[in-house]
Amino acid sequence: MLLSIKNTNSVIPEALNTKVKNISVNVLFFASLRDAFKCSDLKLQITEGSTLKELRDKLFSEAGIKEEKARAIMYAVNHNYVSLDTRLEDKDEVAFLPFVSGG
Amino acid sequence: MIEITENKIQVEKLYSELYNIACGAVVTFEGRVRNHNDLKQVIKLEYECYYPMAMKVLEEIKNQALKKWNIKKLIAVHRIGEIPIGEIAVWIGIASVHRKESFEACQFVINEIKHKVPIWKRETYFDGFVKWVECDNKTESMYQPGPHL
Repeated sequence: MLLSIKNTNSVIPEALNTKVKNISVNVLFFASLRDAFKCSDLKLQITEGSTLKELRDKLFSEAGIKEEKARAIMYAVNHNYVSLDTRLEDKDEVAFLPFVSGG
Repeated sequence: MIEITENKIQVEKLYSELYNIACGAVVTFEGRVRNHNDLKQVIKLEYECYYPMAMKVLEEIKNQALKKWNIKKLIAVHRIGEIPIGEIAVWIGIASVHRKESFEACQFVINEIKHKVPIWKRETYFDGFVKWVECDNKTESMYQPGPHL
């Protein structure tokens, strides 16, 4: 359920369950993704060493968003476009970005 | 100069910013809100952006253009929020000694904006249907999601 990941203290233990330490990240959603997730941002605690892909898969799975939708996005960490294998660090700002349509 | 604004773009002021007596060429581009898309009548259009990243990417585009072409002035302004049909959503102005640099740099800047800057538009159609427009048109210089995604 989406509600389970809205909790600011929610934890994603599956990412790397041998790790003990958690880190905090702020996840932002824009445009159609904000509509799909029904929120604009989530403050989450995740396992240290988690990758963006692990976070993405968890969030999309819990929100019940189709995989086709997950492909149609780009990702940024701290305002830089990144790949899904990026390892997240404490206090990272993670943005899920639909393909842009400015201009 | 780069800017993202909720206000109407004041073209006269921007033109004056481009004035430079060393420049024999000024090329501008206006992206305007049109009243149709995909054969559907558009009655309302709104833009939203991821502001800090959008400004950062715009700054990078500006710096790339200044490095690549010998241009004296570069202005890129994008309006966000609801924009009436027919009004300007994006304005680019380039001034250079000769025209070639300005033409090329202007096309580069608008292409890069459309591919990279985190700005999205949402169209409302005559029948009441509302849709976010998402363009799958990234350039080579941008991160490309691979098949593993």
